[in-house]
Parts: sequence; structure tokens; C-alpha cells
Amino acid sequence: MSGFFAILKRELLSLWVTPLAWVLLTIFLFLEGSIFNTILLHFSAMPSIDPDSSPMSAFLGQNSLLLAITLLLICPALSMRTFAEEKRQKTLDILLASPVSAAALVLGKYVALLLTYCAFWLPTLLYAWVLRDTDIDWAALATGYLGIFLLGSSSLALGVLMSALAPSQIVALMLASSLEFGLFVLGLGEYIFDSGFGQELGAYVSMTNLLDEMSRGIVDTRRIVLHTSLTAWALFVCVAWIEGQRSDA
Amino acid sequence: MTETLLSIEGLARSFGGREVIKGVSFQIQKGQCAGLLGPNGAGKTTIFRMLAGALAPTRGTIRIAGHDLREEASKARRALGYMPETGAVYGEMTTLEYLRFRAELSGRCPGSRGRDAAARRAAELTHVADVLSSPLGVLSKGYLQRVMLAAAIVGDPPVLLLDEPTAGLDPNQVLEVRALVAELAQTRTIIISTHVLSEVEAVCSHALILSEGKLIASGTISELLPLPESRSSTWARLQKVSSAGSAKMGASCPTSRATKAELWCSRSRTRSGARRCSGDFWLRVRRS
Repeated sequence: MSGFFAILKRELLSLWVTPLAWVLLTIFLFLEGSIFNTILLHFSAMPSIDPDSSPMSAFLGQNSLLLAITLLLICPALSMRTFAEEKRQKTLDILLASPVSAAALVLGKYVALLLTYCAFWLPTLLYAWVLRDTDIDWAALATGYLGIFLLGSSSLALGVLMSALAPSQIVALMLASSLEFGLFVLGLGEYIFDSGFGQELGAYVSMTNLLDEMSRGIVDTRRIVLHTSLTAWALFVCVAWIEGQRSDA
Repeated sequence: MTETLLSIEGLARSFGGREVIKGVSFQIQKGQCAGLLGPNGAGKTTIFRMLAGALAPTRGTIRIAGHDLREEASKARRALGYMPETGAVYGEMTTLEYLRFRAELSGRCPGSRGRDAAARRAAELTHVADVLSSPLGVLSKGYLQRVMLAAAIVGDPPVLLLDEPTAGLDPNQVLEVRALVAELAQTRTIIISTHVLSEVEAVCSHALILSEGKLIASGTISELLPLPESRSSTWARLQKVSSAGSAKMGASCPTSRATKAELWCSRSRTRSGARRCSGDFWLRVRRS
């Protein structure tokens, strides 16, 4: 994995030195802050609170439609430039010509995106701190963030793959958003079909279900396997693409 | 016995069924500086990308410092310093950050201090030490070319690939970069891609002449470009000619003597003022 840290550091630098990450972070925190504020107002207006629900679980999962839509925009926007920008700047040849393995190249870029994504969510821990005097289920909070992490990791991996395959950033953004939106719509199959394969498939891939369950502390290993597999598959194809540039005729 | 540091055998590359590089073979010995010369579209950059390992050949083998690029890719790439065409840099990085990054990528500079020292040494050699803290995005073209040259030599690789190192530079910058390459050529094996004849004359000991994806001639500069100072034009039969077909090169370029030279290759053609040269390749070098 020689060169992994070089790629990781460069990618973090390019994300945070340019305005992209800061603009996205501002939009993201504004949206998340607005959602959290709405949730707090909603809970404060309620005469009694459902024991299965809390502002944090509502924030991390039970408003998951809004959350998923936010993620559908943020993850493709973060990942769109990964390889597409290298192709535009003609710097990809420098990376391909270096003695860095394709796996180190792809993982270096991917981990940088994942760290940035985690950094986006880090300020939202303040919401839990604000509510520290209330009855917070810390385990459910942890699994809620795990759900967010799983969804982000697979979305970013798909975004990296689209960035490798697309000729430009904008096409990469559109492809990744379409793919994410397709998965999101597939998850709605749960509500469209009454029973049968369509309903089961929809429930299995549903992003909103993942966030909802995780925010309540329910860990379904099938969902972990799904998102981990999706991540591994996308990164594997991306590594194969790099290898293909170098060695396939 | 001379050591072959770069060896290419039957290199070919097709794009969409069209073969653009057609069985190119040559060898570069240790300490040689060779110029890959040809007009735009001859296939120089494609050959360079294949040599750098950024593009796979359809067929043929490439050996760098004794390592097969396909079989021992990592070792072969480690022996190579690559300077791509102009503009291939990360504008948001400073010169020092970029050189450290390339040092780390090269795998030849262990440790943070080692990378820092290698980056600073390369910057000193290429005279860019005064812009170490400047972002690459704000540098002039001349500085940028020198930074890219510094990035290619960082970690001291034995073989350097320089793709059009003076492209887009003004005459003074051209002379500066040429002087730099000539200096580097004293201790390294270099191959330069260019369509500028005078560039090869100025810095190279050998020339490889490429036309329409074929290597039509190779040899020392004196063998291939015999133009005496007293003459304004000459035709020279290329000494080591492959069996390629008719080729036109037509590259006009400024020379180091501030004159014009024209490179023109012909087979079985009669041109005004020239002899019929049936069966041979002839190179016309003309000053104007």
C-alpha cells in the first residue's frame, strides 16, 4: 500500500483548500440545523413524548426522507471530482505512472472522502450535547450514527466509481445522483407493493428503513452486509478500472 | 559494456481499431539523451504515456532499468521520472507540497525528512527554490515547466521522460529549460519528446524520428542532422531507416541560432532543388 498516505493527504488538501468542502459543509450544516430546529420545536409542542422516540433518534432516522435527500446531494457532490478532475487536469497520468498500486490510489482517495464526510457530521454531535440533560439513549445514538456512516460509505464509493467512469465532474455528479436516487426509489417499493419479492426487495434496500432502524438502536446485519458489499463492489470495480488503464490493451 | 536503461520492442497501440503506433523498437543506453522527434500527431505523447506506464500497449514490451513494465511494474516505475505535457499540476498545492507529494509517490525517498530534502534538492537543481511556498496555480509557465522538471527528478530516478519540456515557453524560457535539461543529461538517461528540431540539436546526443506512428530513423545527431553553418539548406539521407512508407514531417521551428529550420522526410519523391531519392528516406534541413 505504498503511496496510500500520499494520496490520502493530497486528496484531503484538495478537498479542504478549495472552496468545495466549505461550501458543501455550510449547506449541509444549514440544512441539518434547520431539520434539528424543526424537530425540537415539534417535540417541545407535544404534550407527551413517545418513549420510543427522542429528538436525536428523530434527527438521525425518523425524518429520514429529508436526511436521505440531503445525502443524495452531498455524497455525489463530494465524490464527483475524485477521478474526473484528475482526468481534466491531466494529472491522472502522473498517478498512473507512479509506483503506487491501484488499490492504494483508490483507497487513498476514498478514505479522504470518508473522513471529510465524517467531519461533516462531527458538529452534529453538539445537538446531543445540547440535549445532554434529557434522557438520551446513547447506544441508539451510536447506532444512528453507524447508519449514517454506512449510507455515506456506500454512496461515496458509488460516487468515486462514477467519477472514474465519467468524462467530467458534472457527468459524474449526475450519474452518482441518479444511481443514488434509483436506489432510494427502489427502497420505496416497500410501500408500493403489498407483498412478495418487490416489497421484500424494497424493504431490504430502503435507505429510510436503514436510518429509521439504526436510529432506534435496531441493528440488522443484512443492511450492514448490503452497504458494506456495495462499498466493496464499487471500490473493486474502480481498482479494476485503474488496472485496466495501466495494463489492459 | 554499455547498459541499456530503456528498451522498447515492437511497441504498438490501437485506438478504436486504428493502429496509431506501429511496432516501434529502440534502445537508450545509460548516459544517453535521446530526442523523440516528430510532427504533432506522430504518436510521441502516446509512446511517452506507454513508457510511463499510464497507457497500456496493444502489443510489445517495455523494459526500464532492466525491469519489464508489465511483469515488474512497480520496480520499473520506480526507476522512472516522468514530466507530462504542460499544465498537468495541482494548482492548489504549493511548489514544496507538490514536490514532497511527488517524492512520496516515487517511493524513492523514505521518511518525511528524506522527502523534504529530496524536494528541496530538486528545487535547487531546477532553480525554483524561490517559489517553494507559492501555489502552482499562480506560477508563470516558465516556472511551472521547471517545477514539473523538478518533480520528475525528485528522488533521482535513473531514467527521465520529458514530454515537450519547452512547449508554450517564450524564447528566453526555452533557453533556460534547455540549459537545465542539458545539465541534467550529464548524469541521467533522458528521452525528450518534441516536434522542435532545434531542441534535439541543442540538448540531445541521439534522435529518434517518428512519423505516423512509425520510427523512420534513429541515430546520433551528427548522423541525422548534418547541416553545416555555411549552408542554408541541405538534404541528408537518413542512415538508419526502417522500412516505413512515405512520410512527411513538415515541422517548422525556431532554432537556437535564431533561424528557421524545416524538417521534411520524403521517399521516392522529386522536389525542386533536390535530387530524386528513390528508395531512401531523405531529411531536408533548411534555414531561412
